[in-house]
Amino acid sequence: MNISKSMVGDIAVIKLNGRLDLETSKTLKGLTKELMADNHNKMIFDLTDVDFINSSGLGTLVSILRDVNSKKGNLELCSLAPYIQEIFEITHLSSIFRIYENEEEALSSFAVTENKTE
Amino acid sequence: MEKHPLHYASLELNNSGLCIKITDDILKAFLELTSLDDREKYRLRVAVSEIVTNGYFHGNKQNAQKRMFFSCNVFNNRIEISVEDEGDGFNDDEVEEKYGAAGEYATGGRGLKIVEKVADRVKCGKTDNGRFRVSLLKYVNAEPVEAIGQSIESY
Repeated sequence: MNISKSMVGDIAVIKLNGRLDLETSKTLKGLTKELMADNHNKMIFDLTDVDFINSSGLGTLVSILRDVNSKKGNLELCSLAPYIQEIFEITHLSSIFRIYENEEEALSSFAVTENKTE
Repeated sequence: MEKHPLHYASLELNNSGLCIKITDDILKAFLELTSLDDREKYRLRVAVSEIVTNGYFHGNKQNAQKRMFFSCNVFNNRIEISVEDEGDGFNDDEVEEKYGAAGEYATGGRGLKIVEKVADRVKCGKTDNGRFRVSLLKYVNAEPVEAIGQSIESY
């Protein structure tokens, strides 16, 4: 799996590419730990180029979501292929993740969240 | 039912995380020989990866000295896949006990749900030579829809 990270303000936009399974999810978990250690608790995972995810990958996403929530941050997902989205639905994870059509929508959601908390 | 597959592969693998990728690559190639649509191919790949991951992680407990046995048989109207590890198997109660309390926020325990949802038939249990085998059957053409989503059977 290839992972690239960019910052939009204080939001980390992380683009994932390839497989997200037991082996590859460790890298993602490591990256998010580093981000949170630097107090970056707002993240977007762009899954446009994820071509395979199984329950190990999903478990890692849930684990990161729990970490982010515990730091009062946000984790948003965007750009899921229909067959990836279906796996979220089979496992009922679409109810705990906020999933957006694209990165712009996910970024906008942070603005809405911040406006609500102001 | 036909007895002889059109295509088949049988592998013995060292127990490592690579098993997940290797078996998926083989399955992906085999699925191209079937008439399943892309969505079903993907769902089946995920289901099989769950079984292999369970075998590697929970069955063989990541022990590199243990082995994994994978077979894939493609028939005209169905695909049969079996995964064997050298562990003691699992039971649903243990999975529930480990992950149930965390509810939706559990970090595991979803693999079997995916397998049950995708496969037309799943069987698991000990083999005569002491391995733990999970077999999955998926119909390719016009087969009983009501079979989908059955619970896992034991040998």
